[in-house]
Formats: sequence, structure tokens, C-alpha cells
Amino acid sequence: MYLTRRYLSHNRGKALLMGLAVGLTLLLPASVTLLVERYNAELRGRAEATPLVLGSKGNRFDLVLQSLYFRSGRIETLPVVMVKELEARGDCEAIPLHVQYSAEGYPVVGTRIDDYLRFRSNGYASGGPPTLLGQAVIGSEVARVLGLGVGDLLTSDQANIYDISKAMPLKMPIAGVLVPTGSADDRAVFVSLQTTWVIAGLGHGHDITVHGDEARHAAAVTYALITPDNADRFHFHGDESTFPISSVIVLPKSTKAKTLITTRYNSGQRYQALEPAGVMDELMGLVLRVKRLMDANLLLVGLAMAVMLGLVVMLSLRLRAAERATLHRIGCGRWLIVKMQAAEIGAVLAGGALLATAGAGLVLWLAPRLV
Amino acid sequence: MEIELDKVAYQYPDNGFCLRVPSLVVPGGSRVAVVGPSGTGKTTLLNLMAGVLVPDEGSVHLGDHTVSSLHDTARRRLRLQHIGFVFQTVDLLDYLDVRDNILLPYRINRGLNLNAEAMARAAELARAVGLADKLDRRIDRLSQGERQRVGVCRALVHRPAVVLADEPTSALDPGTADTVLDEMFSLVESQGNTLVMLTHDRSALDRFERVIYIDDGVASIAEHDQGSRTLLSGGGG
Repeated sequence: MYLTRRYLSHNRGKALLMGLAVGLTLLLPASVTLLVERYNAELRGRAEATPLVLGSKGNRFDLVLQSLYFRSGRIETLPVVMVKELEARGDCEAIPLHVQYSAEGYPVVGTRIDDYLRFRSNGYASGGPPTLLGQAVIGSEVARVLGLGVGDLLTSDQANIYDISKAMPLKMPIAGVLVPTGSADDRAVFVSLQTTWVIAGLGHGHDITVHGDEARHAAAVTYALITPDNADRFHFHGDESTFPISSVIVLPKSTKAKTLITTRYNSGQRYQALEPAGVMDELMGLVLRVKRLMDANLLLVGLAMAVMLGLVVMLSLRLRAAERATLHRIGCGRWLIVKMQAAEIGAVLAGGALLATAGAGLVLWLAPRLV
Repeated sequence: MEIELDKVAYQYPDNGFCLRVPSLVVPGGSRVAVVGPSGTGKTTLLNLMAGVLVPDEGSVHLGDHTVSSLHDTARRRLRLQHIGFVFQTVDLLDYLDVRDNILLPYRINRGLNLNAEAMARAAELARAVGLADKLDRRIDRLSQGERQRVGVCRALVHRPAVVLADEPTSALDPGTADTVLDEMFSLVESQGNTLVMLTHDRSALDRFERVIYIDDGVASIAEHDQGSRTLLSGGGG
């Protein structure tokens, strides 16, 4: 072992390079497999926990991805009155979702926060539910990354930076921070439906507090902030029942209710009721097909790398033939020589495997930021 | 330790070359040179004495051991314990420093105990050949002569009874070669080793008591008498 250690130490540059090559060859398929498995488990777990999603007719993948994972994607909205229509049936619960805007890059999810958190079995790590229009509850990762806590302010992103006639960004006081769940909820900002409509410009307040570099000039206003003082003067124009939501999570009380609701809405032209698990299976089927293609590709790359490494090892062994002959002549057993050189190769391979393991761990740790 | 070869024949399977040694005795503690043209089997003779090669016919004895009848592992152990090799090309391990190269027999033989005494002996040998201040130096920073000295120290560090040297100075300039031989002979004499050395250098023969001549694949031994040749025994191929 001493001679092996000294050999590797003397040739540490070459050994490191070989270990790196081995590590990278192993890392790629390992990280792809781990990521796919992780996302498969995460996506499926959430999809299976959500019985039905109701939305406008359109791309079913977009509807499910937006309703479950708050992925941005333009889907047709539906009127909020649909929630009342569903609840009036008496055989289900309905949780509206409006996912159209963002704050500091994180999706702003308009919903009935208490109902949503009860459904997802989540709670508050600090603070509590909003008590005032315009307040927000943030996911654990949002809080960690942005360094925000209860009482801080979070500004919604400008919906259209080229159209200043649109509603101004809303500064939302943070009422609560959620417990981490390892799901999309960690990376979302939850507000009431009314707050999303304010961000959309459907509601406004007279004499609302406005702030900006030059608050005296209307053109210089950069954001709005709803406070206990001006909240009473805030109101919406038009028929609120027609205000938009992006989808509804439907929780049927029985299998029969689920079948009836699915049939009722899927038979029409305007809406669709989807089982997220089925849609995600379909999506993961596509992903896994691509992964199989990648696996075949990576297998070829791995084989090529193995051949290259084999060649390097063979050349190295040939170059060291004189060393082996010397060792043998002075009395070193051939088996010991084989063991020494095998240990050197083994150490390089083990180093590569260790590197791949560390890399895979890093990939998993970075996974939420990568995908 | 005495070396005896009796009616030995060894033939290389690939080129058919055959070395024959009718009868050869190297008394313990003597210094014997092996001379002869290139390709006549000098290195083969050395390998037969060390048990690296096993004769097709006849027997090789090293002290009380019949080397030619031993199993490979036993021959290897015998080499490790009783024989020190000095090679023509200095095959030192470039990833070890001077000290570790000298101590190499201890690193590859569990039967040898690498203790403080062995370390002190390595240092003592290095001092004897002028390498005391270079024990921690990398091999690639040594001159050719210094490397050969390290090779000599490595051959002697575990106190072998027999030292086999395969043209140890052929790659050195004459001045350095003389110095290395002086140091090697001084060490061998002080330890009472049996020395068998291959050489092309006729001027070095005065250092030896006997000379083995190899010609046309046949070895014969003679007393060395200041240039004259007194054949002790020999044979034809």
C-alpha cells in the first residue's frame, strides 16, 4: 500500500485527471437518473394527492402543471363563479387558484389560503394567515432565498414593463411563512384571490397611498401599498363573479361524485376536469422515453470512456514493464506486483466514483434551482 | 555463501540460444567477474544463479539450497533474503526518493522488518557512497553515477550473502565508473559478500580473484592471475 500511495502521490496530476474522467463519466448518467427519479416521485406524489383539476379547455399539461406546480404558462382563465357552481353541487369541495403573476420571480398564487393549506396539510412556520387585502404568505424557500420574514414587504413584478397604463406593482406585507414541504409550495407566494385581482388592475382604491421617487407626480408612482388606513377605500368595479381564476382544485366526496363531475365538464366545450395523476403519467412517459434515449447515448459514451481508460492503463503498464521486471528480479512476487498496480487503478476508479457521488449529491441539492 | 552450478543447460524457447555450464563453483566471500562478448549468455548465467531462471538440465546450488528444484515462491524468497542485485540500467523507482529506493527490499518483503536499524543502515550505506545529504531527494534529480550508487545501496541494504551485479558501470563515464566500483568493492569487502559481476571492462578484472569466461554459450572459470588465464574447469557446447 505504501508503494501504491507513493506512486499516486508522485503522479497526482495524472491520477486526478483520470479520476475526473471516470467521475464525469459516472456522474452524468447518475445525476440524470437521480433527477428523473426525484422529479418522478415529487410530481407523482403531488399529482396523486390531487383528485381533480378543473380549468378551461386547452393544453392539459399546461393546466395540470400550472395548478399543481405553479409553472407559468398561458392558459385560458375561467370565471370565479365556477367555484360557487361546484360548491352548490354539494358533492365536492372547490379551491380556486389564480396563478398569473409573480413577485421577485416567484409565482403569486391567488387562492383561499386556509382551504389550500388544509388540503395540502401545510401550516405556518411563523406568522399566520393574511388579515388584510394585499398581504401575502410566502413559502419557505422564498423566505430563505430572499431573506424575508413576517412584517417584510414583497413587491409583485410589473406585469407589462412596456405598458405603464397597466396596474402598478403591489407591495405586499408578509403575514406568514410556511413550513417547508419539499414541494412547489416552498417556492410560491400565496395571496387572496382579491389581491391577485388588484395586481391585475381590476380593483383600486381612491386616495390610496402611492409611493415613488416623486410621489407628487402621478407618472413617477412606482408601486402601491394597501394599509389599514386605506384598505376601506379599496374596491372592485364590475361583476365580481366574472373575475378570472386560472383553475379549480376539486375534491369530490366520493368516487361517484368524481365521475359525475368529470363527465359533466368534459362533455361540454368550455371546461375540462382532469385527473392530474393520469396527465402526469402521460408526461412522465414522455420524459422516460427521452431518458431511455439518453441512457443509450450515455452507455455509448461510457463504453468509449472505458476503452480510452483501458488504453491509458495498458500504455501505462507497458511503460512500467521495466519496473515490474526489476521488482521481480529482486524478489517481489508477481502477485504482489499485480496487487500493487491493481490498487493504483482501483484507487483512481474509487476516486472517480467518489467524485461522481459527491457530484450527484450536489446535483440533487441544486435540483430545485436546476429544473 | 557458495554458488555451485553443475552440468547446467538453459535454452531460450524463442530463439534457441543455449547456455551450458559444465561445472562452476563460486566460493563464499569471493569476488568473481563474468566476461565474454555480448549475447553469449552472461546475464542468463546471473539469472540462473539467482533463481530467476530455472535450468532445463543440471542443478544450481546457493549455499545449502538447491535453487533449481525450488518452487517459484521459494526461489523468490531466497532472492529477497540472500541476494542483492545491481543492474546495468539503474532501474530505480522514480516515484520514490533515495531513502525509499534503498529500502525497497524491505517494502516488498514482509519477512524483512523495516525498523529503526534498517533505516540507520540505509543512511549509513548512503553516507558510505556520498549520498548522505540526498536521502530525501527525488531520483530524477540525481546524476547517473549517483543513481548507480543508490542501486548499490539497495542491493546491500538487507545484508545479502551474495551480490550479483550486471555490468553496473557500463552506463557511466570511466571516472565515475571507477569511483562507483571502489565504493561497491569497499562495501562488499567490509560485509564479506560473495560478488559475481558481469563486465566488459578488462581493466577492472584486477579487482577480482576469479573470472568466468563465456564463449559460444559455454561458461568456464579461471583463476585471475594478472592477465593470464588459468582454467579451473570448463566444457564444450
